[in-house]
Amino acid sequence: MTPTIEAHGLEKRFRKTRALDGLDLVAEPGQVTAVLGPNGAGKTTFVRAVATLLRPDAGTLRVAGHDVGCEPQAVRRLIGLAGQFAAVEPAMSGRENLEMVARLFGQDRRTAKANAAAVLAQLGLDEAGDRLVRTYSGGMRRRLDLGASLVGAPRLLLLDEPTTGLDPRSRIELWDAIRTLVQAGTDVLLTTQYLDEADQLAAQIVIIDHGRTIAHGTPAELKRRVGGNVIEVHARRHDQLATIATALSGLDHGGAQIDEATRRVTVGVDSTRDSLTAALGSVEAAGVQIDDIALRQPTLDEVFLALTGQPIDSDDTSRTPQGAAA
Amino acid sequence: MTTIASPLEHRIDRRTTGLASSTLTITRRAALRYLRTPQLIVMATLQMSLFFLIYRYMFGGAIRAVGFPYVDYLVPGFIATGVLFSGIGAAVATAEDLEQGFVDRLRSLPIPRSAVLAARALADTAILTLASAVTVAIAFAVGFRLHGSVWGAKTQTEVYESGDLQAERSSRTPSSGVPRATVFGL
Repeated sequence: MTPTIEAHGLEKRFRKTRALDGLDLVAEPGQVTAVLGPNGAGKTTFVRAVATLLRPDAGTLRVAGHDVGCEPQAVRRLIGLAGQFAAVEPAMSGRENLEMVARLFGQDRRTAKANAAAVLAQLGLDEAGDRLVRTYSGGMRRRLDLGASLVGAPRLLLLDEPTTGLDPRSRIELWDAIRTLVQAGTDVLLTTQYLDEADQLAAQIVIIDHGRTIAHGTPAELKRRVGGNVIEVHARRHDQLATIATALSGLDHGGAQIDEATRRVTVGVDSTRDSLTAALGSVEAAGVQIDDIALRQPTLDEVFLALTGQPIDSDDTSRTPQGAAA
Repeated sequence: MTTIASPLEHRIDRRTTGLASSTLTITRRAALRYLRTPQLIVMATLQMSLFFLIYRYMFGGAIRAVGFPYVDYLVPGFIATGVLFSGIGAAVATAEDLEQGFVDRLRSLPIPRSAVLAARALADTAILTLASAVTVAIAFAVGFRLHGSVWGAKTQTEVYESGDLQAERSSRTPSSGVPRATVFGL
């Protein structure tokens, strides 16, 4: 079966910055593929290239077998784009916004009306459908934006950081909406900075940084490489951090990490069932006072540390060609 | 949230959506954006009328024009300036659309790319025609009169409005009372 997206050696340069530096990615049909990476990793550039909004300098990029450079109109017929901003018109109602996009997809008036109504119902916006978008909350705007990318019944949905800036409840609502779509047979390419979001939604995760693919696999495969979950202990006193680290390092092969600034000790654990109890036991046995102890998923930072042996560097100069070559 | 097995009607169509219909669809949005923001219309009209009256009665009193009343020079100049200034509004609106990802959305749709700019120009022309009509109404109320033919004035107005997007050079001919404009690239 033809892959939904097939990118090989994709390069894009903005003056001195290499946004994409030989990116390889294959997204299989019938599933959500998540592109995970820190700010400036090239996620948005990649989505814009797939959406025919910018032309890569080198490499090949195909969407459902169509070359993005040679057949952009064929690609545009297949995709729906929801960018980082809610690109909906505040001075129009939700319904008018959707009908406009449907008409631009070439649907006749009747089809556009029917599809707009179906999408509003699907996203739980049918009651607010006739209100002007300027009265919507941030979460509703995002859902409407998602709706606008859906109303053309795309085969591939491109979501660029869809939940950034949303409160937890709106985030979960948007996740539910995305899951519903995948069940209905839409392929999704999703970019995110959050591991839990990729874990919740995606069948395939591609981790990128500096415009290159660092790792890819199913969430389970990646977690196995990262070491499952993390136990985090918040110490009450600075001078007890080392004691806690020693107490916890017995739990895992990797050893505990100390974060002086936030008085936290973290340790990766393989099994989830008994490790929290064991950790609590060893901390109590060491006789130290703690504020908090929790079992959680690794953050993107910890994933990077585990996969590359280096933390995410937020230093912007390293994103120039000189830095990347070094 | 309900699960709908096949929520949307597919229309198998390989073609690009037509230039005319996509331009009109996007124009409608730009016009609605303007019409549904009353403060924009009120502020623009009020400011224009105030400036006009200030020039006509306060500064106009100090200016002695030869051959024609000052107001007959003032009005065409005022309309021409207004048209040029409206270009600022068009630029700001386009910049906002770019910033907020609206242009990205349009460009990812199967429409001719020229439709995005054509719609902008069409919507601005419509709004400008409305604004100019208000100016002309006020102008006649404060003593502006045509000395040439109505046809000549109509042509001038159309030329000014196309000047929103075109390079424009104007020269005044006192015999007609309204400036004669020459437009390149029409």
